[in-house]
Amino acid sequence: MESMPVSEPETKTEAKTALQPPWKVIVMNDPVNLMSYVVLVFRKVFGFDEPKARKHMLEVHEQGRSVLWAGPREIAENYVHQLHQWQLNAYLEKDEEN
Amino acid sequence: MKKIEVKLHRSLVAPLLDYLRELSVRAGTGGFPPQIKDTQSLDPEMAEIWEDELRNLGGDDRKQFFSLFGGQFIESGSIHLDEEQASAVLRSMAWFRLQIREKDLSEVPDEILEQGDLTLKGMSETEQKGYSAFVFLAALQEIVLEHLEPR
Repeated sequence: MESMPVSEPETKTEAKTALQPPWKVIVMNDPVNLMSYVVLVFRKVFGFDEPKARKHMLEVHEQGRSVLWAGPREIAENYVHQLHQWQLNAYLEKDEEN
Repeated sequence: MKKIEVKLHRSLVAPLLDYLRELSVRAGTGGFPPQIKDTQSLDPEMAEIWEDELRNLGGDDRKQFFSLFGGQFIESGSIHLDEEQASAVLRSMAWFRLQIREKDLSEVPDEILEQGDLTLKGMSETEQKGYSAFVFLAALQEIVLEHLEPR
């Protein structure tokens, strides 16, 4: 009796880099903190130049929120912590789009 | 190092300082800024550690703020601060303003508070003190910000 040829199970190894989805650092508007104060905080925490800090501040003021940074969770958490030290309403959000 | 000197009217500022000292006690020792209502986006263990750090830093910041109003202020009405102190003082003023908003001006709509369209008439005594301190701190913050270069 002829045996059926046994085919070797095909093993396929695929290298996948487990990339974490980036996290966004978001600052919300509040009616208390001064605009010039918020600009200073953005410059100090993120190292933004004046125009970039001002652009984000205006976004917060006019749209209620601004995404200040996106990237690995650990770094994003550190930014949020610093923003809390400066009394800004900041939080982390998973960046589902990327 | 750049130094900032601000000349203040002692008899006007002294009652505001009393109010701010009393507010510090009333506000308790919560660490997160008062406008943050949930910390769910943070890892719970991490949130606890952060809150401790924020509490300690906030306490140190307020000490720096009140230290401005020592002997020199009592003598001449002037306060002095250098760039190193400025960050702590700015943060503490932001904290005070947020606490005033939360504790004593919670009835005021956001837009009115933002535009500064408030009159003391018709306000309770606590609200009057709160709003006066709120405006005083904003003016002081603006002076410091104007003379401070971010590092």
